[in-house]
Amino acid sequence: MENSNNPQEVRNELNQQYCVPAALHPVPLSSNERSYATNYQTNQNQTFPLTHINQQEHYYKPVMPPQYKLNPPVANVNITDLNSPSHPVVSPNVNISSSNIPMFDNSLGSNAKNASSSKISSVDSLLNIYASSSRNSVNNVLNSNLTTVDNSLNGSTANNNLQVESRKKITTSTAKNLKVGELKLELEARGLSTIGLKKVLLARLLTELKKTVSETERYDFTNHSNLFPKYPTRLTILPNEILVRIFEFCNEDLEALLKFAAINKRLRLLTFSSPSLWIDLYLSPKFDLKFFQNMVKDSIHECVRTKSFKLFDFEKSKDITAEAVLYLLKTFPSLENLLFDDCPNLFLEDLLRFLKESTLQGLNLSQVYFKDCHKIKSVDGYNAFSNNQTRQEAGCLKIYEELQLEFEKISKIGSNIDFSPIVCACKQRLASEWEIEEEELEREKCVDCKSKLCFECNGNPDNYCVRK
Amino acid sequence: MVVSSKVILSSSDAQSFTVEKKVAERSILLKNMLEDIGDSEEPIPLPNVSGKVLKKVIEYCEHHKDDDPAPAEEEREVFDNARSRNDEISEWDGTFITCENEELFEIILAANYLDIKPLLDLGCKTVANMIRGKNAEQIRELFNIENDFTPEEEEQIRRENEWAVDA
Repeated sequence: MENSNNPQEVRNELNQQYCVPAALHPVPLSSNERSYATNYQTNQNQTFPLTHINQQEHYYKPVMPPQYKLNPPVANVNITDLNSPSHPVVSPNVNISSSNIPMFDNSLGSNAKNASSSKISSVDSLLNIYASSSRNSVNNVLNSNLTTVDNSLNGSTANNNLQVESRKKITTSTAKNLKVGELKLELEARGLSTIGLKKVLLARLLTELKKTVSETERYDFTNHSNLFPKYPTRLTILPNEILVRIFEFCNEDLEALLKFAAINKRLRLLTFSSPSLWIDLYLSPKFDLKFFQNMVKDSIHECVRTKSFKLFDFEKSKDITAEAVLYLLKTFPSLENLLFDDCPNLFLEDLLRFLKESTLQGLNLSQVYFKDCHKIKSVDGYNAFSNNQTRQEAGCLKIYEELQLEFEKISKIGSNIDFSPIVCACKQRLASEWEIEEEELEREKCVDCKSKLCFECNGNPDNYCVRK
Repeated sequence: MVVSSKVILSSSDAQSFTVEKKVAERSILLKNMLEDIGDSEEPIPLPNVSGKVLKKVIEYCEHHKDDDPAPAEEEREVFDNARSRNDEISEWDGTFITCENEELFEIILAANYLDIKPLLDLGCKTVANMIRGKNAEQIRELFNIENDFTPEEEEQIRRENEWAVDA
């Protein structure tokens, strides 16, 4: 078959091959399908076989054998910066999902209609590789792995000698000229699984796509002679996926990891652009805020930029102080969802300072979550919410009073800091210590018996209504 | 020609290796391929693996053929999560993986291609262990990596790392 890069020619050819007029039936398309098909044809210079597109009420859908399914590849394949660990490395263990595998499907319109406009270009490019104009690309894609396919075919046909003799073998040279759909049909006609073909095709597709990304030292499966072009002993010939794996084994040795990051720019960015790595780092006993400020901030910026990491959960982190919280908010104003949960070094005094400073500096607290604030202790180590009142605990009341004032300021700005237990207890304690008349306090009602909260409950819902 | 319990693997430089099916199935790639094509007398081409490296890989798979079978795809995530990050390497594995960097990287790449996770981990652990105890300059020299930092950037990195190095 001739190769053609002219979309129209290819479309005509595909129509001739797959759309037998006798098999055509007028099938009404849904409005979405019509809309998509029309727009797609008009705007995207589409190359998939549509037998007839017009503005009439009915459109003709090509009736194809089920094996000719062309699923527009959902553009899940992101070609990102090669320095990112998320860069899809071509490897045999790449996840193969049916949605990723371009196959022929006569429900193109309905499948594609959900594609966002940004994905359409990807779909188009993939279609260009697989469906039509880039038959050359398809041939290239198939080229180096045809021996595998050939072997698969020949090997499986060995199970049935009669069939082998009666059928013409698909050789490398003939398969090279087959289009994807034809090759698939040939495999299916012989009763062979196409799973292997899918994997080969996807791997080849990714390789094709990767060619658009410039990278001087990249593992290229398509050409073994180029595996180690210049620097066979360079660590950086390894794909990011493997480098990250190596980093993971360095993870318990922070010093080694830091050295890794100091080797060159690519390794540095790679090391600190992997959330799984640096999130572990801040849990390291050696972690300190200085490190966080100096080393990881670029990675956080990257995470924020790419929105690859949604929740920064600093649960039980010993390094989270009010200073760290302030630093985070100042440095990364666009960070979303900071969660500080049970951080042992975040004291009431710090929290107060944080609140004051954040108010003064107009920081946005709408995405900051302090969980279980009622567990936060004072520097003295006393939790004022204990039922056992002591003189030291009473000393915290001054802080609570200030906290309450700050909270009232903060509440006007909007915050996700759950201060209600603190405020409640603060009011209780103030009333208790300074003998403020109970009526002067705006008591909340118990959710259980609707009576006023008692002093003993200390704002803890578990202790509500001990008097009832 | 081989009996059905054996398969032939053909390297990129056309060297053929006959191995037990059980050995070949240490590779997830080959395991899936064998499931697809069934028993076959045809050699399985491995265009991305040279004969020298394939020989080493087969040696590894032969030695570990009685280990627990490779996890299925759906169990892989659990397996990976459970994968210990310790850097302990058995004596045999240590001897096996002792080779020049070039060969080590080829083994890692082949393990990645053939999807042999234990061998991939062994290679990665080995590289990680090589990094330990060396400074950045030694690592650059060891792995022939170009230093693309400016002197100013290097000095900044040195200062940033002080806290960890001195601790």
